[in-house]
Amino acid sequence: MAIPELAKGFRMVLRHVFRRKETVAYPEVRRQPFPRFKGRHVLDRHPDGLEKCIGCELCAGVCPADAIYVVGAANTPEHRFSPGERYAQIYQINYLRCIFCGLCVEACPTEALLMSTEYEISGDSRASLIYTKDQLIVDAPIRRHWPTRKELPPDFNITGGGLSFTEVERPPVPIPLPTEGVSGPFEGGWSGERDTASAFSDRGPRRED
Amino acid sequence: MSDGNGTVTVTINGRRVETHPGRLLIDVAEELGIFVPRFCYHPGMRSVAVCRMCLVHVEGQRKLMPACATPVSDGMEVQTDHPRAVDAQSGMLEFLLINHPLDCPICDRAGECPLQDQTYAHGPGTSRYVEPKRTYEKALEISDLVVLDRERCVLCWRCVRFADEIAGDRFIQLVDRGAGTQILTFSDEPFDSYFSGNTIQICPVGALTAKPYRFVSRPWDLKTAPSICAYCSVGCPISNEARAGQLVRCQALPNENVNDFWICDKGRFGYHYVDSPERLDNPLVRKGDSFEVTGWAEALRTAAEGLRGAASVGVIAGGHLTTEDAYAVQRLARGTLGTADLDSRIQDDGAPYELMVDAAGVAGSTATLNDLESAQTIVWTGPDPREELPVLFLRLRKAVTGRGAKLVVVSPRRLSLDAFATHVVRCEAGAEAAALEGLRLGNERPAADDVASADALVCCWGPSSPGRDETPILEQVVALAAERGGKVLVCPPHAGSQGLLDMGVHPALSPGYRRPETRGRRTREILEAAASGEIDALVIAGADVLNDFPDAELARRALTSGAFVVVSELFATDTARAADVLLPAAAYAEREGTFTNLERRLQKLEQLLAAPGTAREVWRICAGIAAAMGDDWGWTSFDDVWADINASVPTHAEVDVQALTQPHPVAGPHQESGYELMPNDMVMAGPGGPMPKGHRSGAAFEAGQAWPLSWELRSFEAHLRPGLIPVAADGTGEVGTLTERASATRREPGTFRLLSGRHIYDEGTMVSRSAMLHELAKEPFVALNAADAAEIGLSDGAQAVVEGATSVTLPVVIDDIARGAVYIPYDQPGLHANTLMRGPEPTVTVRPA
Amino acid sequence: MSAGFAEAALEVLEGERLEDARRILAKYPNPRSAVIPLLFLVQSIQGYVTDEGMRDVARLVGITPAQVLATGSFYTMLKKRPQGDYVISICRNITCTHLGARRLIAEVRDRLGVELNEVTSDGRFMLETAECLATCDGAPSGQINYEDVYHLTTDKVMDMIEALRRGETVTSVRGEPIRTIREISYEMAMTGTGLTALGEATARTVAGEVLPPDMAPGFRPRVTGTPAGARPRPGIEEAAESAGEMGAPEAEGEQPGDATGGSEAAAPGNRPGHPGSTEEESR
Repeated sequence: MAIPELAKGFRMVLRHVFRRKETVAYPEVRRQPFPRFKGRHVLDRHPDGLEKCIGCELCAGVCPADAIYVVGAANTPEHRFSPGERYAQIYQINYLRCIFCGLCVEACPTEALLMSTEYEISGDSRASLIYTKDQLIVDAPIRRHWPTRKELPPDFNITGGGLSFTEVERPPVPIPLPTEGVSGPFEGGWSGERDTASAFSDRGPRRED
Repeated sequence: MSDGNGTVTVTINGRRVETHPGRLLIDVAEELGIFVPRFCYHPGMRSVAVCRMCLVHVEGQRKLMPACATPVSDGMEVQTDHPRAVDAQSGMLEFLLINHPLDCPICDRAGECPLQDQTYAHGPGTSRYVEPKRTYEKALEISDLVVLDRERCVLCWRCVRFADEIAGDRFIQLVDRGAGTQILTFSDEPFDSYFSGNTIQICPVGALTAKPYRFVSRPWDLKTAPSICAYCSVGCPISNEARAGQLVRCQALPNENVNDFWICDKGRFGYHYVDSPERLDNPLVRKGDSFEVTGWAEALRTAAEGLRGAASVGVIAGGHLTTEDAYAVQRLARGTLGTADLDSRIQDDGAPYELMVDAAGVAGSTATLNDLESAQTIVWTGPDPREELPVLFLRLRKAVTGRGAKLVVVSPRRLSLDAFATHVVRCEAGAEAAALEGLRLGNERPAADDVASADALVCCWGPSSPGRDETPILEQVVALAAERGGKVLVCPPHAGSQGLLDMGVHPALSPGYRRPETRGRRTREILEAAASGEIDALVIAGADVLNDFPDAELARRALTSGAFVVVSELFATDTARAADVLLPAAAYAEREGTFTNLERRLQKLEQLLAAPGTAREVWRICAGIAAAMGDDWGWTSFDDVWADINASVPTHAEVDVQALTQPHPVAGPHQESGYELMPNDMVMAGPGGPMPKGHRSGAAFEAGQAWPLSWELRSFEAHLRPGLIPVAADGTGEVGTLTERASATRREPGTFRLLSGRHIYDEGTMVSRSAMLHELAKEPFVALNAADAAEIGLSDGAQAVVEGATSVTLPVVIDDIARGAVYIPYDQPGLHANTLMRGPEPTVTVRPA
Repeated sequence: MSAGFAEAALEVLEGERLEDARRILAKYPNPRSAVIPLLFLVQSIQGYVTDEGMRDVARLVGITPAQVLATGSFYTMLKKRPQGDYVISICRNITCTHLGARRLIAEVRDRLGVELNEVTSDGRFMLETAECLATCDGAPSGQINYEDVYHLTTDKVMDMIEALRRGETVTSVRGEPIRTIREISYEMAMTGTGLTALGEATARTVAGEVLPPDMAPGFRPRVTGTPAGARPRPGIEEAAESAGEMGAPEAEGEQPGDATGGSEAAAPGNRPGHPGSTEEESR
């Protein structure tokens, strides 16, 4: 009775023994994800170096995992971080919570928040997995492999590779990151992570009392 | 059909309803649960019908009618969902969005924006408009608290109407009327109104935003809890809103019995002190010249030891304690400590509230705030309500300008009420009682005529100036009201003041307005006894006697005489620094509790935040001290305190404190919200409930009639709570014999009675720790009558040396003030006016610098 | 704010002008009615309505400066920016545009060397566009200081500007000398107070009707009875009264008995602004 079933099972095993392996010997071998793989987030800049993020919190609002924490603040002529009135004084993504669904990227009204192909996110503490703005923001504007508008150019080619972090023609102006000299409230924003607030907030912007 | 009782029957969307003629269609529809979209209509203000959003189809009318300006009439048939009306509403929204910038991502209003909501519900999904939009300079700061973005404005006029109709501060206007209409202030005259924050709350878009709240949070981030403003004794209901454990916004909650829809800017923006880093978070015990942080057990033990060792203890409580705290302080004093020397009157030391007990059975008001609006004549004598009781000022203003009440102001100095008062009786300082007697006897004409002819008279009294004996004034007020069948509105200064009186924190009153066996010392006498060593221990709860008591030197001597001092406070105030044991208290947003307002209305606060460190409620502190002294009250929760209050305070025996959290009963089913498509499951038409008056459409509301609820109020629906005025025994209606009036005596030239009063933004314990407001506090000055100033050679703007207990140089302001008196604000930056005061009826000399 | 009104605080309306202001205020039972004339008074002093002027008006009337701004900013003849001595308004509506107003405006603008609504370098002239002036018969038409000028060409406009610059008298189609903004503002302000900068009986309607000197230029009451100077001039009070009635639509068909001069017959041809009565000026 069981013989045919066993034979059937072993045939499956034998067949896969000679097939090409899907697994790789990570970390010696690392696989290149597809260009639109949803990995770690990055915050983009405008060509003039200003942050695209305006601190609107829509990403935080849409996040089904409540993984994003944003506190806005007003730009001033002396401290301008983004075009317009508002910028993100605090921007944190909690990768313990993030489910990489990409809704935040869709919600972003300025295309500031993008997802890179980086998937190697690990850490030895809860605090180290809460990424702050200075970790998320890029130094130079991202050159996309896809156009940002719906109209695709005739020579559109999706095989150009993932997000490249090369500089565009206009070099960005050096601007201060809002980690220094910025005071603000709310250093810990997530429910349930409050016990670690003191641990992670010492890397992020915090109020100097 | 009309049934002869003055009702009309209207049909709205096929549903018949009987209502009163003259009411507005928009209100009647909302009561049926039919929400008519609107921008300009606000239930607290008169209709202007400028936004054209509420157009509805009325059978028989060729044109669509604005529901906010159409009174119902008999047999009217209305369709709010008629295709023409729907088309008009959608078209209006498209027009409004033509020039509305789509900067919702950075707009503070996004997420709770009526324009957003109504566009979702009634608007077109797309715009046909492709031309450039109207642009203005963004983020114009029109005052220290309000930011204006004219691009977002939909020109509903609400702010302009509020400033004009409600506040009377007409600093914000429609300018360049025509195609380029915009909201603007005059070039160098900011929107400096004590009520400016209300325009932010009623703005149906993000055109007016609050500077303190700018970009701080999103509505969906906020945790809210209903509460009561902890500043003055009007007791406006507010909603505390916190993000990540920090208080970031306060909004007015509507209660038409108390504040209508409004709060003052102090209540709205004066919350920063709660999160101040200066807050005390752990008990401190004096070790030599410095404090040492200890645990509660040791601190309470130290306090208990000190108090047990004292021969005589005085207890002083400040005006910001809740009713429960007041009861606990009283029980600690009379029960555990066995002293009769307790008082809660600091700034208003000697204010004769207890006089009211004989006359009215309560140590407080017999009138309610609503009585002001049905009054024919109102007599005011007391402080400047705009500075000290701002929303009461609005209620008085509404009574006079909206309801046609006559207002008689009796005061030795110019008050903000003078601007719309019918009669101003400018009496000499100290001669108020004589002036009131003149009103009563008909000598003070023509004001006396209006008093005599009034069927409904309300006499308001509040302590007008620190350090004065106001007994003759209140006696005359009571006598005047009694003779004319009027009511008395007693206006104590602080949020907790009335609760402290109700709970017997008073040397001559025990809880429930009974007379205690022994009459104790009042604040001045306690301090004098402490200074002389008769009292060798003081318990001070939430009172900064050094800065608030109208004799700073006496307070200083009392605190430094070597008496053992236990203080519970929010901050290390000057008084707290003199303590031997300093116990941290929880602020109003960090606790459950009740405040009793000036009409004795109990209203409940809910806890929103955790107190810093181990700070706790004053009732817990009192119970802790008692327990440490071996008197365990067995209190562990708020309900335990109230069980005790119910059992021991006769007036409050029937009060079910948890019932205070009950919202108005819902009037009926609301089938058609019209907002099914909208987020948050908003239900537009809300709870009804008794609304004793109907100022909106000029028609009288009947008791039990539903109170329509607009979308402004939707998030507060669950929190609409009327509060409760405990019933007390009736009084005799009379005061006994009137005290001999001190006649106004001429004084030496250059010597003046010192009048004082608090200003809205001052150096008070809480305001001075609220950064935004503290910056608005004005410099001190001395106000003089022009003739007096000329006599001693002073002119407007000159510097004068004012010498009382101490000496200070102040700029002179010539003002309408009685001769022989000067006015100096009580507590402004750089000068605590109580340092000038020595003894009762303080006087100063003034000479040119 | 002090209880009484401190005259010392006034910055613009001082001395004789304060007397004028009091005269204006005395005209009205409600002081707020005086806001517009007082703003014209400010304009007659300063050439335009300044912030200080608005503050003074607010103090005199007892309202806030913001309310004065709200009222005054509605009226295009009250300018909140410098406007020079002469404002040249050229109509840009249909008839005038068809007859070349756009080009005219552009050319005048270039010849003056300033943008629209800017004052020339000598601080005397400002060019603005106007909506229909109801003088389509004279298109392309315009106004210099609100006095009608017809059939404009660039040269004609520039000639008039040059003449004004030289101090010569330029007359409107009504034959009136064009006066400066300050002068007409003063007259607008003092209408009905018995004071005017004009001499007697020089104000003239298009129909040739002589107006009482205290009537504002441009104010054209419906005229019946005998034209051209034969009409008895009513007293100042009566004029103010009849002006009030003229303003009300219900009074449209009625005439005060004393103003008709006993003549009952209303001649339609004499209605002001009627084309038939303007042939002399417009040719």
